[in-house]
Amino acid sequence: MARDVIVVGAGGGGPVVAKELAARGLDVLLLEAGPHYDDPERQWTHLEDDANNPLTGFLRFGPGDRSKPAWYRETPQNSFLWQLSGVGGTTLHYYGNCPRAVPGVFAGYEGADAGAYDAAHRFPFTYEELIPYFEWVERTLPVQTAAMGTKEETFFAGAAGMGLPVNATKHITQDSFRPQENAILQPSGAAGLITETVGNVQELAHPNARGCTFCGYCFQGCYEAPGAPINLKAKRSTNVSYVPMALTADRWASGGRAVTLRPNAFATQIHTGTEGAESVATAVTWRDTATGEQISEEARVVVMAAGCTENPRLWFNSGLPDPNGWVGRGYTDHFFDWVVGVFPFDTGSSKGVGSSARCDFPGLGGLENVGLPPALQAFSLTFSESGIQGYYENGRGPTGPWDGAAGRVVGPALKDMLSNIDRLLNVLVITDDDVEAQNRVVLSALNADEHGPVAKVEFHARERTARTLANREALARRAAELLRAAGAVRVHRMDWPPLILHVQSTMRMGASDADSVLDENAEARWVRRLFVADNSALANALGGPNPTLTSQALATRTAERIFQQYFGGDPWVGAESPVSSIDDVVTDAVTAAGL
Amino acid sequence: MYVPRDESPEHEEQAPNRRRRRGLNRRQFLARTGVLGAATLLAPAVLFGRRAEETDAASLLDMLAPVLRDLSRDTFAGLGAFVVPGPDTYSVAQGVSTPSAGGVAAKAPEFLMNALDHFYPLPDDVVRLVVEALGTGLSDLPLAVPGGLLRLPLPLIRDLGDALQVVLRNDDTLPLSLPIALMLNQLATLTDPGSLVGPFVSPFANLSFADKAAAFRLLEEDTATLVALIDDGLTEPARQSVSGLLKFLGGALLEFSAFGAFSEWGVFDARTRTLTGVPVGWRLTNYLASTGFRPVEGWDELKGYFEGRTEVTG
Repeated sequence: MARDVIVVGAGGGGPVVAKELAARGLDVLLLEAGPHYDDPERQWTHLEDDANNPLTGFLRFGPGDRSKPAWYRETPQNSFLWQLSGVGGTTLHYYGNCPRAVPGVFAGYEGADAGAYDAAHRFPFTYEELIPYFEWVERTLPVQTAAMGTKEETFFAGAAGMGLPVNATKHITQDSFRPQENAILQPSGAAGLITETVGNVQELAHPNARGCTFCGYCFQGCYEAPGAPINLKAKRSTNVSYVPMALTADRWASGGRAVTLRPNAFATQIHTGTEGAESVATAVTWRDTATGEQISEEARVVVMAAGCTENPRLWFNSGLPDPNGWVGRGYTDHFFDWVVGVFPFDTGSSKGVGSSARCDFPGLGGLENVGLPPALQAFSLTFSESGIQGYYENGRGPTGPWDGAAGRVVGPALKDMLSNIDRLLNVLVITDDDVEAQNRVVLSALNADEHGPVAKVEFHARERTARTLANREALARRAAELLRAAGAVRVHRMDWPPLILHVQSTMRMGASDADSVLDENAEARWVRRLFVADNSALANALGGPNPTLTSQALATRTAERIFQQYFGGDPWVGAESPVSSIDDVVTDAVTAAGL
Repeated sequence: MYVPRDESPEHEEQAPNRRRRRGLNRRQFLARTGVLGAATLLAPAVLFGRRAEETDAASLLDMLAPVLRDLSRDTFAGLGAFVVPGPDTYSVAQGVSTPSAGGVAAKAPEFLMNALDHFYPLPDDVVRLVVEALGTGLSDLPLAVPGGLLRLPLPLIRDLGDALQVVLRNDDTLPLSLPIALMLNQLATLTDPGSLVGPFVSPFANLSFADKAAAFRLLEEDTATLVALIDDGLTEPARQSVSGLLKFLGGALLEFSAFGAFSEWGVFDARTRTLTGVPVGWRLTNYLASTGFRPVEGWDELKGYFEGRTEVTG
């Protein structure tokens, strides 16, 4: 008996399609290669190595059995690829930031700055068309305006000191700064008002505290406030928002049907057949990572949502067609950089929401503050394409309004810079980077594992387009200026190599069949009934905004297209109101289902 | 930087004799990786008094295993002291130490070795290729092997070489930390041949702080002699993968030494998933000092909403 839909991957995008179609009554199977941490409060800790060690942590790309090695990807350059397996995917360690994409990256944009964007790789539809889908996701997660901690007050002082205006809308139309719009339940009750001590644990537990408790552990995975039902955890990773809704769709949606979730199921093959003259997806084979068993199921529609790196790998390992050579190409990563200020006063860098403040510079990208605990902070200060500061520059070592040449901070200088973590302020440079064929996923010629040849991710950081490189330099300068204006006594630029963490566009949709894999409905051009519904479907790097919201809005639109095209249904966005994932009906459903 | 061939104390082995020449290369290879120095620590009775049936490489391998582990640990300790110096002997030896605890006290060396040996899924083949290709590439750059490392006779050198080959080629038993340590030691002797002599068996650990930076420069810089040396010993597709891997490792070894040194790993009890003490990195960064170094579920850190705005629309 064939499923209606099989979704491969339960990260940021797959659960959106699964939940939306389950709410329409379809029979959906949701596969996830990694584990399902269904009780994070007891399964996780706030400790950095336990959580974030990319080889051993519970938030790693690897099997659920942590005594086994991680899964390998080849990265043949100085870089770091930081993605997760597990239900929730990379949203487990994301900061929940949900800015909308910049209007200039969509078809039909005619603003005065139209030439400032990656005009050759625009979305094949308009910004206005996507707005109802943004709104649908913003109400479902939900997305809220972030409160401030000390580090945000510091960031805003710097942004205002630069003379930037405030943006009090959800649209990015001019150089400006603002609190993040993020998928974090804002604090109420005691949350944010008290520091936990041995004697007040209950005061910071649900329902006395609701939403974000300002614990400072966004990157370690959120389970705040303690005792809250799974759908009321503060940070809206899909494991606490879309997945619980998908698993209980029969309870909260009229005519809905619960999704079947299979964690520890690594998809290894998309099967195809023919329908008339066309190739169509027919089934999926996966490997149970615990038992090694190979299992196949048929489906009327298959949705790939395994991420920007694994989708191309699965495509290649399945022997699917790639006539224009664009499968895996066009990888964008916002070509991050990192600028750090040392302050003579407390910034609260290790406390509160990971990032609640941002600047947007349409045509260039953006800046946001980032707070980190010590091990990740140390990682961030030793990650560079410019050698070791004071010793060698690896052919780079850019200088500017920061102190000295960019480069790794090592030895006594590292200890000195880290001597008080709460006197630092990190600014992440988020570059509006161009889609380029040379940055891509291929199969590794040397390495294969139990799921076939592994992915090899190639980034050519020094040979990126002139626009990408210029954008990054301009933003790094603005980051340094912001930190100076905020009162930093020392500013250091890292000149990061690719930190492949905001990932986009390896299976991109586009207007032209010469340089895209998907049509404007996110359906594969050469295999019908096969859709892509995660960041890899994005047409470009969005102009710099963090990608999850746009990816989820696009996945919602894709779910509608699937329902219309293959199941004879009607669209619902615009015609109905979404049910919020924190609505009482969902809480009741989750509680009744024992989640 | 390099010792001219005719000044080598081993010049007597440079006669046009293939067997002798191979012995020279092997001795140099073993010296550069640190294995020769480590082997001299074996008791003389073990080295010279072996019974005939024990002279095969496999039995030597068993004897070498703990020595190679110590060599790896020594090498990674030299790395941990470089990234985060402290008052330890490795920091003192590099000429840059600090009063407060550093990477060695935080167990950064053990952290890296544990991750590499048990959890990094890189096929060992690739790193073995690096070590062997480096060995080939460096064989044309003769090294003055100090007297202390000359006392092992050629037959034993051959056995040691064979034993190391067995270790490197056994994917099931090769701890990945070993070839990476051997590679760092090769880089160390390329940076400073004098690093063969020092307080540690690991040439890398014997380097000064500045020379450790210079060794990483070899790994990282595009024009490095090293990549050319290695590439000459490889064919496609291994060539590109190995070159890329070196650049990746050049970064990752530094970044994850720092991550390990500042994380809780050194005092984490995996069984109870609790801490047995205060992590070195937390004290160094003043992290959680106000809570008695205890992670908490929340802070009194809410400063309100910017301009009082709790919602934006449109």
